[in-house]
Amino acid sequence: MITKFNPLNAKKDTGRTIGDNEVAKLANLNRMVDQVNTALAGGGGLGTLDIVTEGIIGYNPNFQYSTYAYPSGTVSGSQSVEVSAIPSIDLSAQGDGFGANSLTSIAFTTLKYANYIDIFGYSELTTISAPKLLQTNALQFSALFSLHTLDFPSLTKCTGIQIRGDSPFSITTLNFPALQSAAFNVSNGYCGIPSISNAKFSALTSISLEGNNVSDFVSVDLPLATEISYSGFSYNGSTFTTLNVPNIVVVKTSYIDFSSCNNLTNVTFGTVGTFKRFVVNGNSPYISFQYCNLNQASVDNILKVLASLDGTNGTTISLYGSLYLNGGSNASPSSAGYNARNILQSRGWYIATN
Amino acid sequence: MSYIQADEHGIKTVTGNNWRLIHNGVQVIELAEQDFEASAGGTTEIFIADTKEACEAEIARLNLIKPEHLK
Repeated sequence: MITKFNPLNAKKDTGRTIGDNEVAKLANLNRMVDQVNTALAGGGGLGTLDIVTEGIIGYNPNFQYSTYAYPSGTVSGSQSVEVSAIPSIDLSAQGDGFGANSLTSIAFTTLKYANYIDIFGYSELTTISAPKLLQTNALQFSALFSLHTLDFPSLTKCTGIQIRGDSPFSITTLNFPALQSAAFNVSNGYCGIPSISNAKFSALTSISLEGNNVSDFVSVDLPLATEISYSGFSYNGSTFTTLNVPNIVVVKTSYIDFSSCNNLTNVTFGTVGTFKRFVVNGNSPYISFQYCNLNQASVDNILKVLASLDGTNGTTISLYGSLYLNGGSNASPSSAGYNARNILQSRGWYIATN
Repeated sequence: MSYIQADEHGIKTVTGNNWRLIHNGVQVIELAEQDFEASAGGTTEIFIADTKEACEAEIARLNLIKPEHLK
């Protein structure tokens, strides 16, 4: 709780006589304090951690949570615990707790903020929900082979989303209607989400991506995305076929690598007139679609979009970089694509094409 | 060890299997062993060598800055 301002204290602090104006200012400050204290105590993340579970938990549930202010605690079944700071939550089915693998549903009913939520190993778990969660640094879901519903209707920002499985599983219900910015990690085994798309993430405008060799990851289809974020934009894997981010305005990573996606055919990476600049702290961009299966339109688009960053029409000129469109089954550029390539090379870009 | 010379259009083109240091006199654009044809123009230089160490020595000689993905 933040203590309110006291006229007597204020008089001591300022050494001035309190008049009506000072009292009014203090009243306004105290109203702000009331609002902050209400938010702090108002539900989840800061104040109360409510977990509602369905299914048999078992005597050794190994639900752990921790905060910076207090030691780790354990939650068994549906409980509400007091936390004085933003919690980090580990829910793991490790161990041999009776019935631990029969847990079917987990809901964080009032949680608003979390450092991270890490749920692992519940083979019967079908649903995870956090209806009031606004922000978290990470959501990590691993070895949840029955998972089909992720319900996070209030989440606006997540620094890292990682979903991993060791056998095919399909998430049929993804409810992230408010998620604007996220970094996705798709690696190891299966991710359960064939496509990161605006159909699934209707508000997503800023994305970063890393991962490789996930057997069920097929595409990134984000026509609403305007920003590639600083955490990188890369994926390497044979099932990946489509990359569609046509309305990118700014790219904040210097590392873009979709090499060895040998079935990647369709790439729309920005559009001439819409894509404006790299913001990469002086680093030269590294862009690789080596050993892919890009069609000619995709090859030409990449070359033309990069060549359009010439310092006109609101763009920031991009003088240096390395661009790899060679190898694999990548198409050769058309004459228009060659023209764009020549422009880039004359500017200083290091380029390889088929 | 050598620098690729520009053609009449100011473009430097490298072929063959070699270690390549691509730089603009200030920062490293690429440092890799490659075996495919690639080109650059402008103030970008292409230095080729048999070993990575030779390229690193050139980086040190010119006091070039490495990008994040090569650090």
